[in-house]
Amino acid sequence: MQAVLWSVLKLLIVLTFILLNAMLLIWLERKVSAWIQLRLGPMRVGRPQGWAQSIADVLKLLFKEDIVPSRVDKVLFVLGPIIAFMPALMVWAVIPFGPNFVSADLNIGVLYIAAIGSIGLMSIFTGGWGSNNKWSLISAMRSAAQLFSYEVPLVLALIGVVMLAGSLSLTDIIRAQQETAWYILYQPLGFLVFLIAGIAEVNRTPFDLSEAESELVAGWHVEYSGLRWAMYFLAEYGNLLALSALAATLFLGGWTAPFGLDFIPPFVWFLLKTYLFVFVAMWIRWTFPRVRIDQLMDLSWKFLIPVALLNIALTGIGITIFS
Amino acid sequence: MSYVRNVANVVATLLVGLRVTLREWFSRSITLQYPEQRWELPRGYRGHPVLLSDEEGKTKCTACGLCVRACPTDVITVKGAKGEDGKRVATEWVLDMSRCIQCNLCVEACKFDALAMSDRYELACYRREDLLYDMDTLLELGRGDGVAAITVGDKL
Amino acid sequence: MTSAKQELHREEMVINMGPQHPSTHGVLRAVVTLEGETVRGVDPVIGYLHRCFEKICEQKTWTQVIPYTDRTDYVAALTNELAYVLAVEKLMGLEVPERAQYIRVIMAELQRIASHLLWFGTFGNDLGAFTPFLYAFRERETLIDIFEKTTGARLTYNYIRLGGVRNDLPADFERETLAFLEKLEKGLEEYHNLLIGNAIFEYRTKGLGVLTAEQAVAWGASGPTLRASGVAWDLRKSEPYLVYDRFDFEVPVGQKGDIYDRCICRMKEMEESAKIVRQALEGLPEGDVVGKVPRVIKPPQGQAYAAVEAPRGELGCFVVSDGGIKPYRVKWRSPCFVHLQLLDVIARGELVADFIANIGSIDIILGEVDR
Ligand code: SF4
Ligand code: SF4
Repeated sequence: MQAVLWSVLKLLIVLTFILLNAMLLIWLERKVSAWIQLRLGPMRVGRPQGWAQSIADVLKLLFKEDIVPSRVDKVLFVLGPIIAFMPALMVWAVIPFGPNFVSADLNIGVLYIAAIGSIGLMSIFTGGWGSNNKWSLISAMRSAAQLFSYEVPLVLALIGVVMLAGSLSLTDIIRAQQETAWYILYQPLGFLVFLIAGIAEVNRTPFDLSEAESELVAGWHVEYSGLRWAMYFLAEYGNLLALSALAATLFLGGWTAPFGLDFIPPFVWFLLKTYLFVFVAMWIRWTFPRVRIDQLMDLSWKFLIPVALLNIALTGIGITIFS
Repeated sequence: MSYVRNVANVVATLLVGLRVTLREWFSRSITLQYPEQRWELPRGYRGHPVLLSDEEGKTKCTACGLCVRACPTDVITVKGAKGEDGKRVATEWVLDMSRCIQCNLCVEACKFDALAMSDRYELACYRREDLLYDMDTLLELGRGDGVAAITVGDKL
Repeated sequence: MTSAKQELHREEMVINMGPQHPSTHGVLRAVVTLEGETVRGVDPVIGYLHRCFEKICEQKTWTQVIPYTDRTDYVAALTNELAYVLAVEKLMGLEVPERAQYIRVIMAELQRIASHLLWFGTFGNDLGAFTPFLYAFRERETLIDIFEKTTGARLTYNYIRLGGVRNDLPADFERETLAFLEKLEKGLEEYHNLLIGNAIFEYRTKGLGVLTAEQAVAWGASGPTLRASGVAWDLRKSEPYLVYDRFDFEVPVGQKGDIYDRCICRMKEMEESAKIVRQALEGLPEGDVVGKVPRVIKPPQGQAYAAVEAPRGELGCFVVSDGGIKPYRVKWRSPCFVHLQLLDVIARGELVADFIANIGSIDIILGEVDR
């Protein structure tokens, strides 16, 4: 009984954590983009620095009229935003926040993440197709193409890490990093591939082809408004957060403290590393122009996958030599 | 080989771009927090025409109608009558600000220095009729700051 | 099992881009035929911003037309005024004092810089990079402040008048302009680092939207769109007006006529304009800023055409007078209108994303297309 209560509690904590963080990320994105662009960003709602802007926005979206256009595929249209949230939430089940703080320490954690990672783009496809709008249809097609091309390098990039740790469990991977060093040092190529493929996976500039505001107006969520749109929006940031947490876990040693700075609690370290990655993703987003769909494919098949394979080969050779 | 060179080139240019944004990240923002902070308007900023008054506070307008004819959008209405001293003075001078294009042509047309441009720019109001500025309003606005009459050939 | 040879059902999709689309630069509507992501045909539909400009001019006096010209190409108002004023001056044979001519050159070139800065910002936005837009606007803002000080307005200046310009330059104009040009230099370098030199940018623009020199000439292209195709035709050089023949500057030309060349041409033009402004400021003579102008403007019967090198190309104004106080006819030769027809030529067969880049690269202003 107690065990069940404990896991329910853990789940609740994780859920609140994600939602709060997603909102924080939205605010942060606005701020970071503003700082990069010589602006101030939100300043009015909540002082200092307009911290309550996201809350205000969510409230506003909650009270908006719920519009389902008449000729959409209702089931898919309604399902889209819900599916969008799933991977963002599910990833957290296996991510360790601290030494003994993980909802479910699956021994196939990495595999699990690879499996659910693809659901995110499925939601775009569902929403885009279900909207019965030409723009969102193009967007849905793009996202499908993107899904196929970027899942592969993403998973390949993870293999190097798994080889080094010798385990698929995220906790084990962190422990292995504790014993040696952060895997970003052993796996720079793997990290690079993970970074690029990951950003493509969460649909951010320069790979935000399915949203592509200047081309497809807003892509798959052209027809969405109000709460449904808010869910897509929150999910986008939930996904970014999940990806960052994953990067922190796999390549930056998760909750472990570097340089013997043990007095800072593991949870804080975990957050710091996650947000480091978040900042990098935002920095990239506000710097580059968008690539084109065929270039996106080229990048994946002609660069990321060969590099990821090379990385696996190098890792294998390295392990054989040094062990 | 060219593949590798290509990749290196791409990475290099992308890093250069990242450096630019990183530098600007830590530079000062140029935003003006508008209602609290305001920018300084230069002399001669063209807000909308206002009426100037003489030392006694009366209008200098003689209702000659030159401005009415100069205005490209026909937004000025002037009526005049003989004053006590026998000279013509304006009795009514209405500006329909909803259609004024702030072109300054009326100021340039006036031969009696009765018109100038004010630097008012916050003109929003709730009713369309509120944009009809009558003579008293325009005279009052003409006594405020930031009023300048710049006509053709002037030095600034 | 169906045979592998069996054809898939294919269908072309007709999609309505605009008039409410983030990248159609105002209110352009393009009916685009798509096959998958490939553009198979473009049909621009215009007229959403039509304000009867030419007809209104016939109802206004010669002077009153000037503020209306501001509103055609609203991001380069000064060159519009210039085209109209030059045409009327030609008709009347008005003398323009030397100082006024210099000021006109300075203002026109600054206006070109302002317009190109805006183009650069929006073009980056079309490609999905939003940040350059803000950086370009930082520089443009300084410039607009200078315009504001000089002309009293930020966008619709009504500054260039028959026989000269409205008023003399403010006292610290020279200092501020030189400071701006310095700032611009730094800005241009930054834009290059951030966007133009970026590999993604090159991939998105090189070899796309190609307009050959023959095509460009045949379709009547002008300005940077023409020069990017390798035709060194610039009215400031080939048919100098004002005092352009006194300045030393180059006309940047491209080779391939693709989107990239058009961009580079515009970026280089900003540098050249800066050069002209510097020279003009140095040689700025003293004197009046308006010549002798009759009290009532009544050009003699006849007609005149004047063209200027506007930021977007050859901006021509044709005026006909019947000897009255109002123009009998004003005709606008708008470069954007001509360039808009090119869309189908350059974008056919490319992808949707390139189509957006193509629209951006010919730099259209719908206010001028529709008038
Ligand atoms: S500023 Fe122009 S539009 Fe306004 S009243 Fe004067 S002449 Fe008319
Ligand atoms: S304002 Fe000047 S131009 Fe207009 S009616 Fe009065 S005196 Fe005449």
